[in-house]
Amino acid sequence: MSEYKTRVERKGRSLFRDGWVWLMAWRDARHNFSRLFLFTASLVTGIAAVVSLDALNNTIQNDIDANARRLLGADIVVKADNAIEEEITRTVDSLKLESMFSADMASMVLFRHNGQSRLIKLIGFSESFPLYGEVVTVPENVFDTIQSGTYAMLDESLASQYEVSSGDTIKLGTMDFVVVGVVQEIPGGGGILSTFTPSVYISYAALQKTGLIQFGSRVNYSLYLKGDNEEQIAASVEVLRPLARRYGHGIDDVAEQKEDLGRAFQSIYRFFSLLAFVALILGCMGVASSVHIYAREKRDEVAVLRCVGSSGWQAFNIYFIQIFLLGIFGSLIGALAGLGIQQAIPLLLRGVIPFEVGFSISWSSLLLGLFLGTLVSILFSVLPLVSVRFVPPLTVLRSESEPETTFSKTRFVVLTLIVIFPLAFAAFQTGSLLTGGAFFVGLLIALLLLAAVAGLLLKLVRKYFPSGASFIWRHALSNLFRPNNQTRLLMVTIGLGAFIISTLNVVEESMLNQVEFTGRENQSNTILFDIQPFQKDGVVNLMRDNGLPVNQVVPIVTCRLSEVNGRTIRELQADTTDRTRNWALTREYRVTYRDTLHHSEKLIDGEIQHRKNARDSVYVTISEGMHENLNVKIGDSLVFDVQGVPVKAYISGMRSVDWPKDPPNFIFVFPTGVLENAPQVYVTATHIADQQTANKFQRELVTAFPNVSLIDLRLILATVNSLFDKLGLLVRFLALFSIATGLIVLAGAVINSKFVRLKENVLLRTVGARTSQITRITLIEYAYLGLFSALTGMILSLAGGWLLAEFFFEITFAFDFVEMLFIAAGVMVLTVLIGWWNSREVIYTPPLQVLRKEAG
Amino acid sequence: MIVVPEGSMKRAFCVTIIGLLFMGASTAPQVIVFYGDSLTAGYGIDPDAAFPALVGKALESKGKEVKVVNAGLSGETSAGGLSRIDWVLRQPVDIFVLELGANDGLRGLPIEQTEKNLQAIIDKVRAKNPRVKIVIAGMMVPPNMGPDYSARFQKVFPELARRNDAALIPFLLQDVAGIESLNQADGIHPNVEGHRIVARNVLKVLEPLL
Amino acid sequence: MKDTVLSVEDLTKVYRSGDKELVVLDHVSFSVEQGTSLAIIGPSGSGKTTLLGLCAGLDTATSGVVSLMGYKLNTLDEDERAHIRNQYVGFVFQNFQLLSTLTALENVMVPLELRGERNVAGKAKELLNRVGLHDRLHHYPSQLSGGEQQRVAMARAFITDPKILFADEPTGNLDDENANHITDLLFGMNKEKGTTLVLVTHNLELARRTQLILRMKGGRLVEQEKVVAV
Repeated sequence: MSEYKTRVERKGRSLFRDGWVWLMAWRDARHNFSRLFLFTASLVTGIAAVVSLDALNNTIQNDIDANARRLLGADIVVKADNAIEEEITRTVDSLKLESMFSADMASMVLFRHNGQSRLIKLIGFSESFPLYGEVVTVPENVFDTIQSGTYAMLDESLASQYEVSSGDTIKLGTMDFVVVGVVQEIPGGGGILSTFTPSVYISYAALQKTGLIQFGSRVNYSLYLKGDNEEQIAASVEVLRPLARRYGHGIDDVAEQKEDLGRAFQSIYRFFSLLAFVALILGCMGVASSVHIYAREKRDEVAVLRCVGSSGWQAFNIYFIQIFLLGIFGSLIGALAGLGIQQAIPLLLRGVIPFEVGFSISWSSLLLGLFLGTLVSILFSVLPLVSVRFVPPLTVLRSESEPETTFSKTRFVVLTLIVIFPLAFAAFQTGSLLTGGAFFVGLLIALLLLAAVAGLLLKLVRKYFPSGASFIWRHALSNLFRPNNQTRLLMVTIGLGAFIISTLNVVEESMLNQVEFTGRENQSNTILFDIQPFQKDGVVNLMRDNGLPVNQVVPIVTCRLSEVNGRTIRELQADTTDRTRNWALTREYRVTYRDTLHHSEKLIDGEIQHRKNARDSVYVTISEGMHENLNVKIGDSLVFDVQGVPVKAYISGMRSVDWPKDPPNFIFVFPTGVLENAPQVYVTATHIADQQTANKFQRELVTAFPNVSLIDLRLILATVNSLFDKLGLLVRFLALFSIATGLIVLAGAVINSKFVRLKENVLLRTVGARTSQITRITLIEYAYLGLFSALTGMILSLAGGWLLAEFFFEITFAFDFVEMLFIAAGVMVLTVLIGWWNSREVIYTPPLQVLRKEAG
Repeated sequence: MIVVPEGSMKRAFCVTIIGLLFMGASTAPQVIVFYGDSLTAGYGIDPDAAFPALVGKALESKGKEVKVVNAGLSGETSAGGLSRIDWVLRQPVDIFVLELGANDGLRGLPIEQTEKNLQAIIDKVRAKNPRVKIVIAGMMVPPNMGPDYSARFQKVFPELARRNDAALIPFLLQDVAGIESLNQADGIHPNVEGHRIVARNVLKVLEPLL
Repeated sequence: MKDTVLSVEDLTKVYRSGDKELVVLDHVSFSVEQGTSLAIIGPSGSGKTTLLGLCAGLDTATSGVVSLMGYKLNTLDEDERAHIRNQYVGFVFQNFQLLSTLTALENVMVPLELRGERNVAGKAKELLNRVGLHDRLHHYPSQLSGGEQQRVAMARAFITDPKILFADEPTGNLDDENANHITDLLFGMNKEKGTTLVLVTHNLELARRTQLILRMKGGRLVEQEKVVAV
């Protein structure tokens, strides 16, 4: 025997020309689709989350575009404090823009029916206002009436406060006007702003005749312009901007308006993007782990196929086809589900954003979902599936056969793509390579840290676990340390799930906490200021008489700095090497005095403001951050010029101040016993529940204390409150998606380790362990696993949540300990449940069956 | 007369106040207190460029020994002025320039109230130093506030001056108000150039009193 | 003169586990001619299954040469060896190794389909008929008894008209009645189609029906015994 054939002539067939693999894919799958349930479920939830969030972001973006014009009332607005120059109007004409204008000013209105007068914002419109959107009036569609003579319309709040009804007469300047109705909504004017200074609307022609526009009058003019198309508008802005600037006018265009609106939603965008990223990553993990399990189950069958002559690629293709097709199917289902959810979200958001969110189907999101889903199902299934190529055919004879080679170019390429994918997606989702990179690096660091923390925890447990514990507890624990039992991998996987869920929780908690104070029952919604000391008791009594809570009565003293650490302000200003901010030196400071901390303050350094006795020095506290602007530290001396009287003080401590919480809050707080006699005004805050009470109180206040000013925050707070109530609901709802995907990953991880556990339990059985003991050992083992994983995840999520809150969302970090406990308990219970459910087979299988199978 | 503050915490100021008194006694310049709002305080500009300082410099250059106290406070209304006056009156005052009311006008506050508060301030100043010379700065609101309100508002100041036998600056912002080049961007507060004219308006009335 | 279907020269297989080396096959040589039958016997761990795996190209040797149908298996990669198996080799295993997701008929069709042939159902049905399973065509393996499963495996093995058939304890998991049935089928087809038969077994009775018995011990071929046909 000397001549051997050393090569085989063999025709390779591509996936698409090899009908047999398609046939086999179908035959293998037809009764076994449920085996890929985990795969499909991961994909569907992941994609549904991504699509719904993307679609929502798209919808909001579209609506912002559509509403920007309505909110602005024009394409371009030129704002001037004198009549618009002829050069500008000529230019506007030459640009062929449609135009109209308005003039507004502060003025006094006299209500003839009750003789009261009030400061208002008077606006005169030329015809054809508005260019976009509409004025909502009661009665309907009467806004144009003001153009036909001496007719006026009022803001709803003004009319209700002064009990003005249609037909009443008001005096503006030298003329009387007949009220024809109230304005509820008007383009260019938010409903919120009108409560500060309510508006009265008349025609521009009528305004000219009131005699209010004269030399010395302070009038603002607005020129509203409308173009035919985007190019014309953009070109017009180019021409008008330098012209307006030359005359010192302001100019707004729709593009800027869109940006402003977009910015307002940025925090929400970011949170949604983060959620989508997390859901997708969890989905990818679910896909990878479920396909890994699937490939493992298919080992024996692949070995047989190899035996009867199929190539490695053919075997791979059979399962790849199944997963590819199911991947497309799952992506479609996920994308449709996502769109379904997206349709429901605007119902939640209705009324809390300043415009309607539309019901349009976002085709781009649908395509994105399909594309992403297919990509994910390919990318993340190829890696585990490629192992079937290396299943040694010898497995048919010896089930424990190890593949000879596991390296392939395919693996390498796929691994590279897998590394790039989350980076690319994060960058795409956040619209910035840098943020995307940060997401990605964050995820990587999280994984590394998870592994490190998991390892450390295991080490500690091993070292300190009581050796006197019963057999079951010890055995369950030692199970974790069996070689090759993937404990660390499981801890990282489950830990990542716990980490993500609890991080979302921490972030959500922080976001909600940011505005939580607005949700409180007695949250101040009305602020009264400029109360003179002699009026303080009267105002407080008036509030009490109206049944209103008095939330804060604080004295405010206005002063300036005259010396810092013995150097005068003038010296400091002249010193160019000094790092102190000029504005911080020369500004007026409004300070208060009290010996306690307000609930919005925390002492973070030093001592609270104090003065032991009249001979003691005055010790004040400064707010965190301001010490940097003033370049001072604890112990430094300051001299305040309290309206001509110098007061020397030392800084005793620093407060961190939650500024928006229960205002007013202060940079400097003095101790009592120093400023009591200084000129001061009082500010107080209260909570007014309904409009009627508000009207009555405001009327009485104006009569008794005309100099006291009142800011009604109710409308703003109501809007913010309901926005966050609904957003909170939305955030929780969407976080559920991530949790669902996380659970799938968890199930996959547990099933993954099933094979290793099988043998162990059989051995225990053969040496006489009872079913109940094995059950308990299994349950306890998974309880350990769940507990350690949850701990691993939690520890990191506190750190991660803090980083995210602080640097990504730029909000104050907060977390709810009880909720964290719930999450930890949840992860543990779920791990045990899922572990037990997937181990039933292992626990209850008669030992002989397993031994036989092994022997075969 | 100096009111010695009661209560232990008030003692802290005694040193300062006695110091002021001592200074006042040794050099004996006339103390001119400018009591007003942002116009006096020199809102938006260096306090040295505000009209009270300019008036002081002008008088000194003419050899008059005066000490100018700028007791202006931005945003001050007549009611605020009334509650702050005791604090300011801790120092001696020879000439009292009252420049308040503009913020009441811009906020459309009831005119009777403004008049009452200003009268109360004058009463307190008189009570402290019966020989004090009072100068009242006349104010106007922009015409856009309506002729009724404007007319009643600007009558307040001559009326007060007449009743209290005080000198009157007919309109503090004469030749300044409404002129773009003399005002800051907000159109209300005079710029450095505007303050020079305001100082001239004040000097015209103030100089004869010395 | 008959062609040599399988020849083994100096075949050695060493498993490494850490620092230790385990010599499973130690310089084994033999050859098998077309149409003959051969049994490899020996105690557990004697290396007989390893030898079978190497002969069928399911595994690669540490040294030595296996040549199957003139192909030197060591030089071929896994997919090329699979191709050779598909072309020339049939298998019967102790635990049947049917694809659980395929029906009896489909299981039988797979090897021919892998060759790219179409309309193979007729031939598969004929073979299933031959092994007495004409009424079990559309049953899944889990719905068949052990004996029936092994008959399906036989049909699958013979559908390609293999030059050589490897059987690993084909009756090991069967009762006597089924075992006899399978044995008869195996040798019947061996004769009928001229297929070379290589058998690994503990069962001396089964081994004695072959023409040549190789006795293994400790990885070495200790005895070659020609069996006189009964």
